[in-house]
Amino acid sequence: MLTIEKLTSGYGKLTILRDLTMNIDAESVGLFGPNGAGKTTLINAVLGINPAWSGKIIFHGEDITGLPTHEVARRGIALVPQERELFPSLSVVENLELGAAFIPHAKDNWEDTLEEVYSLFPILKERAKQPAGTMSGGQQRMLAIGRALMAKPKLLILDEPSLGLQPSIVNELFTILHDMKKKIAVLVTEQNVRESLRAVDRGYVLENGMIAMNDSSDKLANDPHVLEAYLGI
Amino acid sequence: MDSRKKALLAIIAAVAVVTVILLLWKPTVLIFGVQRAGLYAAVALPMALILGIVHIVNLAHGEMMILSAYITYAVARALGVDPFLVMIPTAAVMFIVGAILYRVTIKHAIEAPELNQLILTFGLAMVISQGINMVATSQPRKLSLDYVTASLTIGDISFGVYDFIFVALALVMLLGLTFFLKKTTMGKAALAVGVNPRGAAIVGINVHKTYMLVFAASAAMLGILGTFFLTKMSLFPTAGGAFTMKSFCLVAMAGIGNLPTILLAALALGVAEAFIGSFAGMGSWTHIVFFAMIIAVILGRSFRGKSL
Repeated sequence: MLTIEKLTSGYGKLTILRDLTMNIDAESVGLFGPNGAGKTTLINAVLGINPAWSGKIIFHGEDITGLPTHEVARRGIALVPQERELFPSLSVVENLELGAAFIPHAKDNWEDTLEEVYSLFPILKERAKQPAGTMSGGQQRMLAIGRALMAKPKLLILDEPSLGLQPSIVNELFTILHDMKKKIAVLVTEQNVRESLRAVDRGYVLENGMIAMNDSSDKLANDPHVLEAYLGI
Repeated sequence: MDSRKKALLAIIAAVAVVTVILLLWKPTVLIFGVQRAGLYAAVALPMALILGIVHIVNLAHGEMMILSAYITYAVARALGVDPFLVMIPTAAVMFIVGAILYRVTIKHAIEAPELNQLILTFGLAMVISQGINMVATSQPRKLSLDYVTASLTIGDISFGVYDFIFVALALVMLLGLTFFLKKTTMGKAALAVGVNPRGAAIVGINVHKTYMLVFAASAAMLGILGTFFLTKMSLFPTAGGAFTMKSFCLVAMAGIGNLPTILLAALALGVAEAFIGSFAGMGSWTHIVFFAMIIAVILGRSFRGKSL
């Protein structure tokens, strides 16, 4: 579905990703690594937020390297950014509607999708008329995920979804992600490796802009390096 | 919520008191004030769209209105037709001019700090007004149209009725803008881009196209307004500057992004100017009324401790 070939990217003169190659099929994939390893840079390069210096990004057989962000979004990649990037002064339901309004394959029956999102996150239905910026961090995270799902994405990318959330909500979130991967491909970056390994089929470990490890989640969970570096055992 | 209701009541009461006093004391102030307010609101609404909704600072706002007035003037004179027949073509031309100005200039400053846009569009304003000066000279231009002098006499006061057309124009613009922002996909995109451009791109909105279309739409509104302006006022190359400043003042008074309040702010400015101007020998003082008002509004805001 998404193939990244020899991707190099960074900011200014600073190279972050070096010749990175990875592949995501109809599955749920985790992307792990310490702060500064290049997880967000990788996602931003896929979305066209940050340019790819060299290499190729191929989505469903189409080369999407260098496409502007909105074109990537319209082709079926939805992002839940670390900073959520909601529209705080607009209401919850307006935020959700905007998630679908500009995606050709999602805009026509957005109201059906809205019901699906509401059944996944009932709190959003309760707060439908409330300005998004007045909700708690956890609720805003759910709204950001809901808004991404409104686009009926083929691939959902979540950047650090558990950041700043209380543990009970993190648990709930990964249960939802676990159910979601049956329908759509998911790429999730996390520092909370323990929780997220539960929700993904496979994981990449990113260190210094390169793939250090690539294995199934069971094997990663028992790997001595992962245990020591990320699970603190 | 409660304090909001109180504030609204206070505003309504103040408007009522001022109206009654003026009706008894200086009824013409009320009439001329409302007429002025219509013009000011009509100039400020396109700026409210680009400054209040998508946060583009445009110091060439008044100059763009004057430019469109000159376009209408030239075409109407050349063809010998009524300027209103040229209004829609002028608006179309201004839409294209707006789109080009965005692509060539503002686009490159859109992510930079607002000071860059300020300096850039200040330069645009000078280029436009000096360009007009070179092509059309600084000689004032005016069309003489017989229907603009229609007047009405009630009791012992007599006043022109044509100027009320600006009030109607402002109301139509407000309705049109409200419809655009609430009901159309493009309007929703404009709101989203204004609130969070990064978030807008992620949900599939073409951010630069949105900026360009909104800026062009505002230019087209100025194209329509320029024609109305031409029918009543005389044109000279630097006539626009004062309107840029007053539009800024009104958008700031109304609160960024608050379109209907523009009408109220324009009413306050228009009546205050007409009031000052109604005293003999005070005519030239009307030009500083908006400075006094904006200082009062900013002081009021800072005392309340919150920016709205």
